[in-house]
Amino acid sequence: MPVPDVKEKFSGVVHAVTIGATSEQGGSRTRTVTIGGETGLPMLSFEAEYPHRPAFALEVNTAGADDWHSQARKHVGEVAADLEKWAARCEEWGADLVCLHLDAAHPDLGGRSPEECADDVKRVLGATGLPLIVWGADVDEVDNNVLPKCTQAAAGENCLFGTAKEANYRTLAASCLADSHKIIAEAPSDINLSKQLHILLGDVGVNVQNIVMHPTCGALGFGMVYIYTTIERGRIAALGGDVLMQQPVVVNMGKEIGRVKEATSPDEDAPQWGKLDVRAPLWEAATAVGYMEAGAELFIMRNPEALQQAKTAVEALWPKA
Amino acid sequence: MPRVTFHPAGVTVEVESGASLLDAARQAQIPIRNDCGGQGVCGRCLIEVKRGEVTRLKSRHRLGPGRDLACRTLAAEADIEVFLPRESRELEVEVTVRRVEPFPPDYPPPGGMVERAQIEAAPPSLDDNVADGQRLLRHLREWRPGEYHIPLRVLSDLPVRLREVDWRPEVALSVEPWGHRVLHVGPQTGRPCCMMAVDIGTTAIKARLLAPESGWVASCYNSQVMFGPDVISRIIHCQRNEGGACRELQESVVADINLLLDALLEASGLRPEDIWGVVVSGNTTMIHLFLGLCPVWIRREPYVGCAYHLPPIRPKDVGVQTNPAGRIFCLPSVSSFVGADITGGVLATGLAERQKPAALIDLGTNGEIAIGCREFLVCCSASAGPAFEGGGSASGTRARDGAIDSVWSDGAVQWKTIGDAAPLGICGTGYIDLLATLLREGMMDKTGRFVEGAPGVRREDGELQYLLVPADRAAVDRDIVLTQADVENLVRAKGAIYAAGSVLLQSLGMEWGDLANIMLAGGFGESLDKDNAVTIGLLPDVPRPRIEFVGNTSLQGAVMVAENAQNYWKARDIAAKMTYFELSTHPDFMDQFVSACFLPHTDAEKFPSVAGPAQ
Repeated sequence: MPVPDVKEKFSGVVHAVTIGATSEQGGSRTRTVTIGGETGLPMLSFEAEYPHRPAFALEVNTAGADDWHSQARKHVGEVAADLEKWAARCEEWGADLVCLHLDAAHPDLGGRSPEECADDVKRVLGATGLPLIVWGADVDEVDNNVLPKCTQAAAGENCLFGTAKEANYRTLAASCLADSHKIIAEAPSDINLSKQLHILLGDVGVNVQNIVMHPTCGALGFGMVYIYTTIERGRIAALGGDVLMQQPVVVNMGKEIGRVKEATSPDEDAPQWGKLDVRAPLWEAATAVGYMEAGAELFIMRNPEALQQAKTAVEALWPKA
Repeated sequence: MPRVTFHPAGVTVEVESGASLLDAARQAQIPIRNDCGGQGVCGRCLIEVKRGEVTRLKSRHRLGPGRDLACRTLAAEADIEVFLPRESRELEVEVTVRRVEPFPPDYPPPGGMVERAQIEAAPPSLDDNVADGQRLLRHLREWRPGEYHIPLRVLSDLPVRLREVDWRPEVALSVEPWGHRVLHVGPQTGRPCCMMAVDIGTTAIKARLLAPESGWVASCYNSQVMFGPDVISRIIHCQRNEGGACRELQESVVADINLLLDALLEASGLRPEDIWGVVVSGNTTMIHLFLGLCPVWIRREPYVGCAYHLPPIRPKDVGVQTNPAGRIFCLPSVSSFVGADITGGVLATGLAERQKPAALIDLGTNGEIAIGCREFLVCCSASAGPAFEGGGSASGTRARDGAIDSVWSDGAVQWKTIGDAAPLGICGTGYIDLLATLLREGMMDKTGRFVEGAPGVRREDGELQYLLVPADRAAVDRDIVLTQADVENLVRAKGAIYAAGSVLLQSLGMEWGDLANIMLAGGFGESLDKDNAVTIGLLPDVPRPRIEFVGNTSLQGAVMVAENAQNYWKARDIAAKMTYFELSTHPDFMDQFVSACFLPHTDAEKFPSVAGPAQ
């Protein structure tokens, strides 16, 4: 009796989004990173195509790493005062991209000026050849002042800028359009809200193929299930042909790991959980792999050890092209 | 006991020490804005204590300097003077009377819920010595065959009255489930047998006088608004304050109805004794509160009311000041959240007699949708909130003279008011037009967020708003504006209606396109711009001739019942055969709702005539 063919064919495809521009492409990156392009649900090598591996970025933060939890800080602590060294080190640690967080622009964290922030972007671009993600301070007025300067400073580099939110998307959209960058659309854990934001971005001229979506995220043990199902449902819609859901997914998870006690509590609090120095990176890596299985393609992490573990897992799991 | 004086009204009340100033305001009949029923949640009952000592409970809200929440501020021992800032003053109780197409001179036609029969009885004799009561019955059956009943109250002075009028009495009768009841026997007056039809809306109350040549309709806000803007907050009020609160709410609505009655009588030159019957429609909670029935189980699982089919009552049972011998009838409700208003609507639109399925959407505060034809009838509730009725909005008003009911753009944004009076505020159809116009002109995005820097858009107190009419052109002493918060409420309201309709249709295995007609009912305007209603996604994108604006069908249904008792039985049939769908537990509703909270809709392909999908 012949084995029936149970392969599922989808009509939709996830957009492939390329970040970074080499010198031939008008930038100064030594390589580019492309994410997306899948034609099926994650990891089903027998029925779909997976042209690009998930990519991993390490976070570099203009506010330093003082408030990071100890296991991430132990790696980045020595370079955290120097953005350039930090960014250069990311490459050595195996990151595919650098994600520069502009937290120092936050009024509570020093309120760094737009010009200073733009300079930070330039210095990081000078220090590493990796493609760059730039993440604002998550305060609307601050982002609206700071990010346009930064998109300008990075013009030609085809960076990924975030985040555009329903309540505040016009400024970033306009500056990403003007300086030809990709954009992160952030909508809290709801497919409809994501779609609405993509429509709004489309209405102000952003090509929806230049969007990477951030459904927000939580660490394993801290609401991950909600985001997991949101990503999964979104991906099913995308493959079913919903063009407003066909954007690849980024999860900015580094800082979330510091919020769960399983990943941060000292050995003596719960000895049965095992050693913190093993537990902390494992927790972050497991979170990343979990989201990857939901369909996420781009991970912003803090702990280099966790990044290496997650990349190892991807090597083993990801369908060979 | 401390005395509390409210400014600018200048009203003083004495309260127990320890009473909240919100309760004091209610006692003083000062409508004060609050959306949570006084639980310290909504942060809207703002007051300024000008003099005297008060106890301030902890509040989660950050208020401006000198500001407190009335519900979190308690009277102490001393007298207090309180100022109500404009934003916390609720809609004022104010009755407006409008003239509509008058009834004919021989109105009401025979066969209504109450009637007066002129009887020429043969006096008793030794040959014909039937008792007075039986004699009257005999003549009534000659007047119109049927069952009649003379209650003891009427019998007690019947012999005297019949002889006083020399056996030519005028008999007032009402329709009861078992036949006719004799309400009154008296001299022939030649005066008309008038009635009143009332629609008790959560936000506004409307009454029509049913009398020869009368074309009067009176309306006012439901002053229960001071206990909360929607049915839920009013039920919570009843629950918290036990028996007394239910009575408070009843008195408040009855007082409103009496005000409307007075206004109608004054306009028409009739007297209270001329009004023999009142037919009342409204949602289930409003009917409960009107009758003084405790509504608290309506909001507790499994959501059941006291009664949906209600007996006729006497005016004095509730305090309505019509002829005391008259009757009051309530239309039957379907379920706890689908009320007599929709029963009236189905009756008025003939939905239950149609060949092809159609939908009736009642865009009230407690919105309801019925879909059906002569084969089936289903319904659901979709709480839209008071946004389209002008409640809870910065410049909202109900549909009345001076309400901006239509807005368009010819390069610049233009508007028109009902009766071409100076503008007082914006009513529901005005809001529909305004949203569609601003969206089309690119002054707001598809989430309804204003575009900063667009003409007319400005920032006030940190919030964006659109200035429609500056104060100097308005009939009120403030600008007529559309605030960002108003837009959010309107978008949520239209989202709830559209999503409820979609889920109800989905449950039937149907789509909007399968409906022969989509009728939008409600008292929120005079005329509806269908394209605009579709542009904002309130109504589905179907061929426009299928869309029909049918006005206040709840009131129309009450009028139909009043003038023809057959319709009373029809309404009971309709209510009995309607199937209720509960949406709150429907797994798809929330998803559909979020998806519909966008202009016109997240799935743009559902609205092909409005705009193409992005990219």
